Amino acid sequence: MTMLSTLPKTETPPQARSRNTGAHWVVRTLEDLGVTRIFGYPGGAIMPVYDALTGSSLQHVLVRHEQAAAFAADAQARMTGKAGVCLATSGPGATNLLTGIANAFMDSVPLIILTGQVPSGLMGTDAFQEVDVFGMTLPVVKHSIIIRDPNRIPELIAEAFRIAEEGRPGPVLIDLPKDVLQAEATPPTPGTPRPAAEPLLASAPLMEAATALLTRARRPVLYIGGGVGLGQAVQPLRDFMARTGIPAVATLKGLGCPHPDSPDFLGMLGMHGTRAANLAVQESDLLVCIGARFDDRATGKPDTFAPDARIIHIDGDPAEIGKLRWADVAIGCDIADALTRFEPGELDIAGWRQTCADRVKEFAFDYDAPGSGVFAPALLKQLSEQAGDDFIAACDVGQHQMWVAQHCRFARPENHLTSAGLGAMGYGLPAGIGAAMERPGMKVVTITGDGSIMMNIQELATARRYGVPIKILLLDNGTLGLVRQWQEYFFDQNFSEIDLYDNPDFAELARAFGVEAFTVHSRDDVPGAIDRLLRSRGPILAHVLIDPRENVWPLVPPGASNAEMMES
Amino acid sequence: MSHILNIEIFETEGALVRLLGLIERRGFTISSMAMSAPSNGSARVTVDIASRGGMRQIEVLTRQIERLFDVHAVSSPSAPDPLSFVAERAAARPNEWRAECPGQP
Repeated sequence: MTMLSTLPKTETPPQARSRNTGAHWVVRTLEDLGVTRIFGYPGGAIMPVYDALTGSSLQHVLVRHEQAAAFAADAQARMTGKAGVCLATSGPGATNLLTGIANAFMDSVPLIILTGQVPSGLMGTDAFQEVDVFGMTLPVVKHSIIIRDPNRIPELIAEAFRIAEEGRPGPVLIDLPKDVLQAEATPPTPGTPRPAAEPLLASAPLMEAATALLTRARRPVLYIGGGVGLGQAVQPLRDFMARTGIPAVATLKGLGCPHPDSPDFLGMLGMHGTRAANLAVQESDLLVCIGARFDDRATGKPDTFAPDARIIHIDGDPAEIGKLRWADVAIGCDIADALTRFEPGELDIAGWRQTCADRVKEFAFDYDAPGSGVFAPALLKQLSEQAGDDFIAACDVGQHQMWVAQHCRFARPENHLTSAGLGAMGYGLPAGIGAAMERPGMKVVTITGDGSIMMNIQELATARRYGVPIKILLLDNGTLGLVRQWQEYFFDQNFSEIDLYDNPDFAELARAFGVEAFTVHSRDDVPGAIDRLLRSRGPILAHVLIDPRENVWPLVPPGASNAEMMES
Repeated sequence: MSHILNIEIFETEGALVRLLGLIERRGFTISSMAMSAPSNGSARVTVDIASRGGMRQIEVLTRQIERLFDVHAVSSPSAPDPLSFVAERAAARPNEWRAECPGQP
């Protein structure tokens, strides 16, 4: 075995290396664009950038798997509205990013992905660690670039940030061949940046048409999606709700847009939505869809969704309008502008509002579960209430994700980090790390399950390394709960490959990573566990044992209308 | 029913494959395609396309193509100006679904 100290030194000493290479221009451009933190993992083709990082003002967060770099940067971007940045090498580094890129694409998150690539002359020759990441990611990026000329690095990276952040945000991939990174570069002085795209304002005739429909409606409902938060339209929405009193429902990504304490907010709609929300939509005579996209999880069986409703569809992305449901009035425009100018006057909906409000009370969740075991919905409700407006949830995917959506209170949409469109298990822990590093003063809680956490468990090392103030609530039912629930009800209780009986002891495992951890066995331990989690200043994991037979209710079965909700 | 689309793309790496991939992925088949020689940094792509299963709307596809940063213009002799969809009040067709959305687990 070769001792490290006897290895020949083939690299040039740092002081002898040029500070004017393409790689240095990558780092300098990121600094100039105001980036302060990037998440990444080094490797062969991206090594010039890692060399150039030394002495940079950028904080590089070394994750333990590239997927986590993409998820953490995604979470940071959701918190700030500014593009997050992740970095990996070519080949496996790039392919490991792929799920994170798709996640950002599905949820419209501004993300810059920098990938190393084999030298230009080797591209297309099946070189070591070569994959066509540009081609592989085409369906899941907003845009992508291979930089061939080192002198264009500042210009193209700046353009990538603009594309990622403007309009409907999304991921932009920048592939960087190694020879371009190593070449001497003398980029021209940056010219005047392209002016920001003008917001598309709603036309007066369309606003009049929408107002006419709303004035005639007797059972209107606002159907709120993630586009409201992306369009900086949370306050205009809340003002609009306050002045009109129209009942509102939200998608998974729309949670936190309507004020959570508004008497007119009926909860989430769809597969695991509240009964009050789904019944309101089903009975509505006018659905005002704002920044939502008639996703199948929200609509259930499509031809039974809001069957009597006419549709006003307001969206910042005109390509979403008419994609799945015909809009009687289609307004592709800046959502904040439309909501600010939407003045329908006094509406004749007092009876409808009362009906909706009564249902919220009548169908409120019941937190009195039998037995002495931990009842996850009650725990989550208590946790979010105790954490207050500073509560940020970074969810994984599964039953716990739906319980969070149902039972937690979100002051703002960006406080709810969840892999909504892609549903990617493994998101929660790295997303929590990204969020907690960005907002260390807030109460960032990763809420995960025993299936999901194992998808990125290695990131406990990252949390420990940087002393990230993340609180991890691991709800362990020893099974892949949501799959188990579907097998129980829709696959004749044929429980196929969902039993995780041989999970490790997660508290012991966390401690092995150097992360404080404890286990919660019974309901009586819950208040103390919440206190301990919220008080902790460093990473901490609460391993909570819950009953595998506990399911998520209500549930709209496959192929059913949203009115046909199953209950426990 | 087939539609002809004329798409002006920038002469950038990947522009053509990005465009054709989007058309197929969004539920259309391409029965013929022609591309002009690039001139002044752009090229014209003409495609004859049809919705697979007949459920997808050409207007929606047109707007999806317009979102691409490699594309600077889309026109169709067989469809109205795509932006007119958001500039006029559409005729009321309650509960008309645009595409099949089978329930999924």
